[in-house]
Amino acid sequence: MDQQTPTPAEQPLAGTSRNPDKVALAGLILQILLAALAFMVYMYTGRKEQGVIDGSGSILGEVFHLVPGVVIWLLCYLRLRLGRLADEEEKELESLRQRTEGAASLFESSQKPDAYTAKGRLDRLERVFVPSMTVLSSLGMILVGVCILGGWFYLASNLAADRLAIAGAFLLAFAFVGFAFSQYAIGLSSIPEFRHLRPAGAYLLSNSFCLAFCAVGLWLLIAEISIVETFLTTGLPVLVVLLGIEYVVNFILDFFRPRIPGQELRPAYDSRLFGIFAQPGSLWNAVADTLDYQFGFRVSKTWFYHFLSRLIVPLVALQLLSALALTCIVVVDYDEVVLVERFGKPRQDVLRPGLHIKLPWPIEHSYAIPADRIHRIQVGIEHPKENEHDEDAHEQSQGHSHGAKKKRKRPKNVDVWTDTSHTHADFILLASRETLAETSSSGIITRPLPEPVKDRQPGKLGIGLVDSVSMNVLSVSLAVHYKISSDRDGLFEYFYHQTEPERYLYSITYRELVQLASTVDLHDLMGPKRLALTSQLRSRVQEKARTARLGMKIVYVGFLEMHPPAPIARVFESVVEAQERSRGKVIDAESFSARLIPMAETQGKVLEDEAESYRFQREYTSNTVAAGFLDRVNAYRQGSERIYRSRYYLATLEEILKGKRKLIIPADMTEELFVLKLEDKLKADLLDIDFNQ
Amino acid sequence: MESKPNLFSLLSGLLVALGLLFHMTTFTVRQNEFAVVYTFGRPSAPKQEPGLYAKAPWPIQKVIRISGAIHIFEGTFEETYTGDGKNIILMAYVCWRVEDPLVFVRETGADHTKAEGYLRDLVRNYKNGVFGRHPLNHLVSTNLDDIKFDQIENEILQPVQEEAKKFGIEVAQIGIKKLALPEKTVEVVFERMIKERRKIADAYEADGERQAAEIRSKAKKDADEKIARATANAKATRGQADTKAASSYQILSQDTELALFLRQMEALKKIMKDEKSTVILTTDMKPFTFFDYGFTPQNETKPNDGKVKQ
Repeated sequence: MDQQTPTPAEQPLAGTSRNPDKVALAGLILQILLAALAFMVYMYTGRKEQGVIDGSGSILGEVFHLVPGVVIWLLCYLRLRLGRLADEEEKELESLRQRTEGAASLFESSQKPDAYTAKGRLDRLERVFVPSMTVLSSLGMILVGVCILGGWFYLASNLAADRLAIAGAFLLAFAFVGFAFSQYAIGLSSIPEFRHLRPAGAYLLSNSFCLAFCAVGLWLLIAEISIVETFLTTGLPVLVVLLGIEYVVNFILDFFRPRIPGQELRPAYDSRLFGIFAQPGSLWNAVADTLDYQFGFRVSKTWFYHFLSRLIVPLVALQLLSALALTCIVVVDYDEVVLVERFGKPRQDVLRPGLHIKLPWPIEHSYAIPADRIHRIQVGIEHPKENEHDEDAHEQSQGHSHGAKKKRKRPKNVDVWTDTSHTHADFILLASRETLAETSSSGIITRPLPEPVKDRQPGKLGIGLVDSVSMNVLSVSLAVHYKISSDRDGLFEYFYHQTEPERYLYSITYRELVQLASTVDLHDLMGPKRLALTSQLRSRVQEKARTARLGMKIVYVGFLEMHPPAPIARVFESVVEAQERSRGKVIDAESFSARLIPMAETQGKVLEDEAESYRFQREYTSNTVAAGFLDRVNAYRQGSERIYRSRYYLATLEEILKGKRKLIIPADMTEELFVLKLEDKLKADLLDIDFNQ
Repeated sequence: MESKPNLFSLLSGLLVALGLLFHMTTFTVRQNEFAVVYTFGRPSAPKQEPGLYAKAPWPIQKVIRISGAIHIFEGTFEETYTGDGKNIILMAYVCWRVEDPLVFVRETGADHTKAEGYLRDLVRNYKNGVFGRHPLNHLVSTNLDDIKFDQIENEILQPVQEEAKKFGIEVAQIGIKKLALPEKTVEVVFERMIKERRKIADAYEADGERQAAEIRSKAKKDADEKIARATANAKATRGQADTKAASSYQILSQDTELALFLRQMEALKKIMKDEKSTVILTTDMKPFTFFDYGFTPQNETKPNDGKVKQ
């Protein structure tokens, strides 16, 4: 739009003597006041609880909507003030030029505005300060809006119902003041020198409408209608975010806008959205001006624009009708059923998977219930690992090459008893049938202690083992799989009979688990009776769910974790170690036995063999001696006995004296004393050398 | 061209106005829900039948809708004292529903949180009171006859039900959800459980040692038996051999003198085997008699067979 040519409608206001920057300053002060007062009303609507006041969400949203208006008014004021100063400078310069005619060269030194003049400052303001402030404000608006929508700012509203009417009245008064001033500013903006008031005026106008809506929302709350308050609580932060985005988009689009000589710049904070309502003329004229400004030619004169402007209203209407018509169609997925209520009264039929038609909203409402699918709850201790299985699987599928370089640690999907993540309050209490371990030939056997004394008087303290209740604690978690009944009665029970059926089932299951555990011994629960007890637990949970009319069918109940608490788990593991050590000792003994018996057998065999050998030798020798003697007797008897004996004697001497040292002493030297040195030499000397060898 | 947007605006406005009028003059009651209509603050009979109802617009009439479904909440997880003087921590859950919506709205302002706060107070009081009458073995025992869970829950439920009627509330169920021991007690239980497990572990180890000792002892016994048996067999064999040898030596009695002579010679051979021996002989021994007399027939008259000095 060419801003240099005011429309005829603007002519009556031309020639006003007011300073535009003073109007902007008044707007700035009003905007600050409105933001502060709105915040005070927000505080007024809430009740103080634990030192914190939580008022109406819609008013807090509007406060965040009012604050950016302060920045816009400030920018508007600076621009108008510098513009006015620049005009005054220009006028002074012109008069000076006329007075010093002939010395024109003195004032024609440069086409570029001097940085120290108001015109130069205005130039810097438009080129640097306004865009940067606009972008910063926009980012702040987006951040704040997202924080509010993300629930990081709002606490639960704690409205003071008796103050809502007064608060609404105040808001409406603020809205009226804001509306009046915004209309004044928008009206003035039709005068060329006041035209820069339009963006700020439009923004204030939006604030006025929103304040009025907030007032209506508060009043409707008194009448138990919360839709407006709820809508504004979310809608106003959305509006703040959208405005922030629009300002950023305006800033970016300005780089791609064709520069037309003489065309005045529209700053980024001049909302095109609010301009539609603030600009004189029809809505479509405002749209056309915005498009013309952006594209640099008369888009509004093209056939496509005319075509679209004619069709837009029917298209929107068609869209709304289509949306309404779509509420007549119900697509029931394969794993769900749908209950339909007509003005709150449930229809007799239940919609099964497929396409169905119903009356449109708000006559009929449909509620999908995932009935044909198994649901799961976990009771007892909860483990973070339960949610990490998929992650673990993913990590493991990434390969082991890089994992091998990391410090070796236990995989997350390995569940050991010694994990310490639970407190004493998480443990399930069990009865203890304290056992005495005995050994027998067949191994370890346990026998229970004597039964407690029955018919004990309540409150009567006893002394001794039989009067004490011994208990164990156990870490237990239980998985319950259930399906929602798909028949009509079951569905009604599930959907209407209680507000939180899953929580109810959780409590019932927990109760049954606690009760069951309190009657069984740890070794029974963890050992041989575990499966039987699981089955018993399932029956009990199913029965309780039926009695409570939960409309659920229990498909499965099973223990996930069941082990002693981490501080004592190590001792339980040590029993297994003791078993293993015990078995090791037995194996050592068996090994000793396996070595000793064959050794004994071998030793016995050696003894027997030696005896056999002795027998053989003895028999053989005696037989040989006997046979040899017979031969010698024959020889002895056949010849001269004396010769035989002598020959045998001499032959024996020859044999035994051969090679021995012999000393022969005369037989008659019986009176002589012979001293003979018969010991062997310990050391050999030269005389012992046998040169023959 | 100009009339179309106006018609559209008119229609839109009319629809919005109709919608608002419909919203202000009607209300729906859902299944299992109560709706109480207040005309200038005076309540009428609650409507429980689901469907669409008409009402005068606010501020003449206003409607408060209350769910008739069962609500559930958990009480505090608190320590209490049993009849036999034991400390225990427990938590109960409470299932409740609105029975009389008029009373409920009047007493609680139709605020469920407030109603649960009242119930919490009641349950806390009666729960602790009832537990004070029961010994711990009514909650924890291997003897099923001792367990009185249902009875305890009923004893808490009855007075709470009576009291809750004042708020227009029916308490459907009170269940004991959690049982636990105080932290210090748990530590003592841990100690006992540790001792119990150590006892079993020790028993296992002792059993292993017993079995090992038995196996070793049996092995030694078997080994000794085998050796003893073999020794006996060997002795018997040697005895038999000696007997047989003795019978063979009977032949030597045919000429005892010769046999002894031969045995003497044999013994000499065995005795004189040592090469380093020095043998001292006298000249009166054959054949060394020649050193004294030379070869004369007398030499043969004085034989000295077998006289060898060593």
